[in-house]
Amino acid sequence: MSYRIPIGPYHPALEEPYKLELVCEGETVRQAELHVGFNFRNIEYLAERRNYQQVIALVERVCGICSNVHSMTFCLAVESLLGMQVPERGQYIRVAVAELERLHSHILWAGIAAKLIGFKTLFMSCFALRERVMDVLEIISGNRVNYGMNCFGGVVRDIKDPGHVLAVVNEIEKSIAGTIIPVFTSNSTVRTRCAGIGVLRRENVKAMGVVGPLARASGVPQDLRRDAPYLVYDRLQFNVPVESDGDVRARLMVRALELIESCRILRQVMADLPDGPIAAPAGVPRLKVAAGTAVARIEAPRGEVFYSVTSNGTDVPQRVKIRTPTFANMPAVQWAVVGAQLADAPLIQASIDPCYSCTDR
Amino acid sequence: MDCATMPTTELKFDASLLELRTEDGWEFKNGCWWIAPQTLDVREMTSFMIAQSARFVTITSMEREGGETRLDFHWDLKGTILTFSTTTRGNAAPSISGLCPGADWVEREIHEYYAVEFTGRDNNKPLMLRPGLEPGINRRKGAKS
Repeated sequence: MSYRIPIGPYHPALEEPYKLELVCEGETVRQAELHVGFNFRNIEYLAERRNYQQVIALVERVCGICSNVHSMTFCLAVESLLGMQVPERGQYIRVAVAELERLHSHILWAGIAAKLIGFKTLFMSCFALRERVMDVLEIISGNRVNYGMNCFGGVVRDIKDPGHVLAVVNEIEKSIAGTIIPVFTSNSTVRTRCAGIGVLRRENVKAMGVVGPLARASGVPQDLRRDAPYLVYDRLQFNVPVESDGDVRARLMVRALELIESCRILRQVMADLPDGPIAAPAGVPRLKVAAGTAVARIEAPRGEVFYSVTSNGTDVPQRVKIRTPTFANMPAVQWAVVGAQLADAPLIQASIDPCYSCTDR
Repeated sequence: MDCATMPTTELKFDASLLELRTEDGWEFKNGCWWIAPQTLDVREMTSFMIAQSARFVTITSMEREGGETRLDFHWDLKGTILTFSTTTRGNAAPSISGLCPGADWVEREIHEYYAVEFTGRDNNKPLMLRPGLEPGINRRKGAKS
């Protein structure tokens, strides 16, 4: 006999509102249905009623974790419409902030995963480490959540002391390599809770258009930083970690290894940071954008973020379409939990690293 | 890119289409390859792109005059973004979600924002809106077309 278990919208695992309705037989999940929209703000609609400058601040509020990703992708699309070139130093600083954001996002997720696994010491270690990343972001931007770094044509703040950032990055990498990765890879509790759990098959990943670490953990080696490089990623050396098992452990591994790669990128950025301006010469305060449509996409911590911006030649966008990675990834949880034990369902959905603020916009 | 400024062509879905030639109607602009054929069989396009191992990215919808909606279908082919642009007829278009499950949420969202009817869908449950609310909330006049 089957029975239904509603989980959410107030959720035991994540502090974001969504609902997962599970149909179980005994302890085994047989079917799952996801309900979203509890955090719907219609940011796309709001963006069509504000001028371009105001939309930068608006889209930065799409997400509280990868806020920089949204303002940066929007700026890239509008810069494409404007034919505006970002100076090299501005591009390097954008990469630095994007990689620091990836670091804190992945470490945040690792902490939450540790808590769900029942490993609270590791949770505290992760959050202590994340604080160091947030400190660096605060030093660079003056902010800890919405960094306000992007403007059309570059960034608004310089990195004044790359040596200090480099020292902190080295310290963070040491902790990741010395503590986080060994525990996630060799601890028997972690292995027992994660290996073979919540498997998402490669064919399902492809059918759903899944992106980011979730796809890479199922053997799909896609990463826009390498496949469709933007900013200065084509000048930087880094690997794209890929695992083939498609389970929770594979997702852990991919994100853990990506932490190391982000540190590697940050070291190169700080070493190669060129002299020069951080932004193109300031435009008019209420700029008008040539009519047309531009698309931009970048590899956010959770995968591809896609923006399509259409201008009708005024200072207000005609259309701003935002496709966030969780919007592409979250439907896949309905496949990942089928066949799993009910007790594993919270960890499986958390392993997707969902962001409902992004999804609902 | 505004569809009105684009060349209109009839598409033949064979491998040569992905050579992205301008004489076939392709144009590279603002970070993306675009094509806006006179008529577009979206299901044929979807089958073709899946057969080419392209990844479905999303559909951008935009309100058009006369109660219609422009639909831009975005695909990633080995890192290149390709967009097939078309306009609804009677604010309706065939659903591609049966061929491409990743389009399910996208179509449901577009229905809620622009009241586009995607024909041939099994699941029309609300996604972002609560049950009972009228679709088309993002149309300028705020009404279903």
